[in-house]
Amino acid sequence: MLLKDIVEANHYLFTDSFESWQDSIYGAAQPLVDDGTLDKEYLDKIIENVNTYGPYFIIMPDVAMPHSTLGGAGCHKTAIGFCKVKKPVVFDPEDETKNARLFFTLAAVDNDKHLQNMVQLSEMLIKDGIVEDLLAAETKEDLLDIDKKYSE
Amino acid sequence: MIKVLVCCASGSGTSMMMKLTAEKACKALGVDAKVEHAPIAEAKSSARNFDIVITSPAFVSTFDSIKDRVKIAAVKNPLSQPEYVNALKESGLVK
Repeated sequence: MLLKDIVEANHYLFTDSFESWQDSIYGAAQPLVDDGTLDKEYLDKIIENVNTYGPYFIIMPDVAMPHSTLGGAGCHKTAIGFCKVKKPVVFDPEDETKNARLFFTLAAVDNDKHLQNMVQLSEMLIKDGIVEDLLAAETKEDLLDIDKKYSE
Repeated sequence: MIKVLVCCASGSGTSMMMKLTAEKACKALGVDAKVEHAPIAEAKSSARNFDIVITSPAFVSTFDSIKDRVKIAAVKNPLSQPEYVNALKESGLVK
């Protein structure tokens, strides 16, 4: 459900590597920037937050959920972006469990819709095997197949 | 009823996920609970109104000054229901 929405909104990206974790925040969110959902100011804030709090949005090994606050500056719509990068992004050189290859960038201005998105994202990520399938995905068709596979 | 506060850095992403998982864990334990979420900056002052604060390991020390009055627990994965069940059990608030 959620992956299909992401594909239909054109909010997905597959790439090989990012130069740094900072670069990954901008790069993973590019589809959201391209259609005006977010602008750079919002992403600057995320980087500032990481410098203050550490990589607070690594929700499980390999999965990052970059986000700032609801209705934060530079955020104009409510959406989730997906990005898969082949080379793991290192957020903490001393902690491998903070590496990430899957990025779900959150944009939120509408609280109800954001809550729905978070419920869907949570329900999706707790399914056994889905992270492995997402790590193996290469194309939008793969995302649609995964969406179908885990929709029951 | 127990009052649970979950908090993260921003209060809009991770802690919302934490809230969903905490509610599931309470339901699984058969515990009547009210779960609220907040950003860490806000949680510092509101924590004293709750029975337990659940946060990520990095933020546990933020609550040192009130740990005598409020249970403080850390969970690593905001989506891991077993971690929440353990945290609630270890707090002594639920059996």
